[in-house]
Amino acid sequence: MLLRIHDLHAEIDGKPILRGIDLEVGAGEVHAVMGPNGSGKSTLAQLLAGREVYTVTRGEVTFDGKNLLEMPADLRAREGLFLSFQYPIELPGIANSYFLKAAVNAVRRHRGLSELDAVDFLIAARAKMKLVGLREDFLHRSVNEGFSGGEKKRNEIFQMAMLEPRLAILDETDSGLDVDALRTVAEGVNSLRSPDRAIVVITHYQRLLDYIVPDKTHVLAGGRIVRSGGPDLAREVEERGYGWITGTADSGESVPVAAA
Amino acid sequence: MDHRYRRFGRERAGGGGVGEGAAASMGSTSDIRSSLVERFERSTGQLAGARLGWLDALRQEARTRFDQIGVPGVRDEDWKYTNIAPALRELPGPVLAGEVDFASRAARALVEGLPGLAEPAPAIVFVDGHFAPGLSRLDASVRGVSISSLRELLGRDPDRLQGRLGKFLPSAAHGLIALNSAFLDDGAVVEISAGATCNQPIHLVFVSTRREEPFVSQPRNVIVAGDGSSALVVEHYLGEEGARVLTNTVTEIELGRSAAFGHVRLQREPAGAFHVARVQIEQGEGSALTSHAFGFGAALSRTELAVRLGGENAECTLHGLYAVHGKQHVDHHTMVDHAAPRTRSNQLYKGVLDDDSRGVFTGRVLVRALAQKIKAMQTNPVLLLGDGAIAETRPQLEIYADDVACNHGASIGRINEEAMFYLRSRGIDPREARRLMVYGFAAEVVESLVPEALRESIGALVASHVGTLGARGLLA
Repeated sequence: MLLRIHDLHAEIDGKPILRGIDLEVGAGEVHAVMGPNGSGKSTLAQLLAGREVYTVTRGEVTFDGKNLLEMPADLRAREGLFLSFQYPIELPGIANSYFLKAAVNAVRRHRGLSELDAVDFLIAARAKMKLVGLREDFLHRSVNEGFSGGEKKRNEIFQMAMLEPRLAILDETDSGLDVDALRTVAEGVNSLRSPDRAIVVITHYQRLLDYIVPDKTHVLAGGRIVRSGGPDLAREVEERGYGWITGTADSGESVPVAAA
Repeated sequence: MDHRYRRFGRERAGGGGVGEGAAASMGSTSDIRSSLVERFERSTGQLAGARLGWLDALRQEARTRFDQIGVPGVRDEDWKYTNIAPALRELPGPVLAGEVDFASRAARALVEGLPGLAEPAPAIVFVDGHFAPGLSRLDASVRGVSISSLRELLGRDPDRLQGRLGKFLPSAAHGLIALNSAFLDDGAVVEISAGATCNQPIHLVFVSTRREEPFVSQPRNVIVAGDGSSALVVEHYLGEEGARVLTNTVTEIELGRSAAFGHVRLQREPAGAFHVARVQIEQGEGSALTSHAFGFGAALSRTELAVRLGGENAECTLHGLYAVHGKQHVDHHTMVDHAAPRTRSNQLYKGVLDDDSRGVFTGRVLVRALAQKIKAMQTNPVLLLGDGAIAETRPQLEIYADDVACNHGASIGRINEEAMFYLRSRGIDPREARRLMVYGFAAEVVESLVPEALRESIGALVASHVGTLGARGLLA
């Protein structure tokens, strides 16, 4: 199992957000994690990527058998974990090319590969940019600065393509995208599906899942996975909303209290 | 004695009474004044152009002025945050030309390693304040441009300097300007003829060496850019590690009508140095100045940039970057005088303060009553890296005209943790991430530099300098 999350509890400023997550994702699989606002989706994504503002109070996470929670964020990335941000950060003054070359080479060094020089990097970058429909001049602009919402998301998938992660977590990659951009981004993601790579798609809506069809779907509510199923579960959520499932979660509200 | 404010989002007053400090320093200031002049006595017989009546009068007047006002102290409103007393604790004296080792290997190595000097650009070099022909490159002649040593020119053709030297300089501004004038001896003179275009940067290089005694180096530079000319001058201040120098320099710049002029200042003096500088600029009608001032070195530095927009439609862009660490103190002080209608000024000064360093920025903008339809912008963002770092930012707008557009802003912040996380989530280690963040912050100041070759060499210098700051205090 590539990613194994067991009984994960986490809080921020003393406020519990994740209340016992269990999730296993194998290589080659695509999982969708759906849930209403405030269910803990983004917390889960950021926590897995190593954001230090969250405190894990219980549970464990292993990535390819290694204790993920012990690793700093940059090491997780070098080990092959990638987070596509819901709100990619603007880095004024730092050229996209410089930033990405530093990232790619950090990952390559860690994997025992030779570093890419400027020319090899450019050749690789050009090819991958085409994948998501980004023009080459984006390489020379500051990271995400002045990018539209769609350009930022394309840039995230471009980075994913360059870093070749073993596990990619896409946090609300569909938010703020029009249909055309959504399709382009989804095609980019689909082209990165491979037998040794896992993808976790976190989303509020089902529409992205029309393009990136998951092997498994999970519904997160109240900080726990309350239902798991196949691709059909996503469609069911789309038709019926979250109420019929979160109702279950609401009745389970006493669980964390009992656990505490 | 330490009565400065620490500002980080809010203001916090430090301890200490102003009155007490002032009273204690009164007597010693006047002692310093006379003993400093005494130290200079031995040089007076050897000063350049000693027989010139007009020059003698200029020196005498400055000397009288200095005797009256002495060195600036923290009692002066303009020097409230910068105490130069430590520079005079061990009283420095002048160095005579005959005492300079022009063959110094250290000086040569420093000059050869300068950014932007790889290309065959003209360069005039001074060692411990004195012209070093052997290190200079004046044969790289550029049509319409004349570069000379002030001392030489005063011997050869003094008329070219009469009426120009000190023309726009307010000698009463503070005592160190008066001291520079009272004992002025050498420096660079750059004359750009009307209509001339010089595509290569002209380098003025001031190197200080390690000497037995602490010393004063007082370069006095004069730059005249004729009507419609276009040129770029780069002033470098640097020195051998361990040099105990007080650099007290004055650069006078006059821009003719429609002249386009670039001025770059790279202050990278060694750790034990003190640096006080005044750049006085007079701009004619329709002229455009682009200034880049970098403050990286010296234990304590104070750089004043005074621009008078004297002709209609004159404009200036003043960019600055100060980046210091340890216990360094850096003070940039700009004064822009909108003295004519439709003049424009745009200031961007950025600071990076690591460890326990202090950075002061004072930006004074004066808009005179007749200067209608002017634009004046000023911003001073500061990045605090060190827990003990202190930033002072003082915009001073004095506006007497009513049809004006003035704007100023300042911000003091720390490294953005979300951005750090973003960089780290891509595999970049904290040290490199921080370095990138600091460079990204500073880069804006460098981006406006032209030509490209200079931007690249100075950009690399800035990257390596701020890189050492960004990495400090990180054990990860």
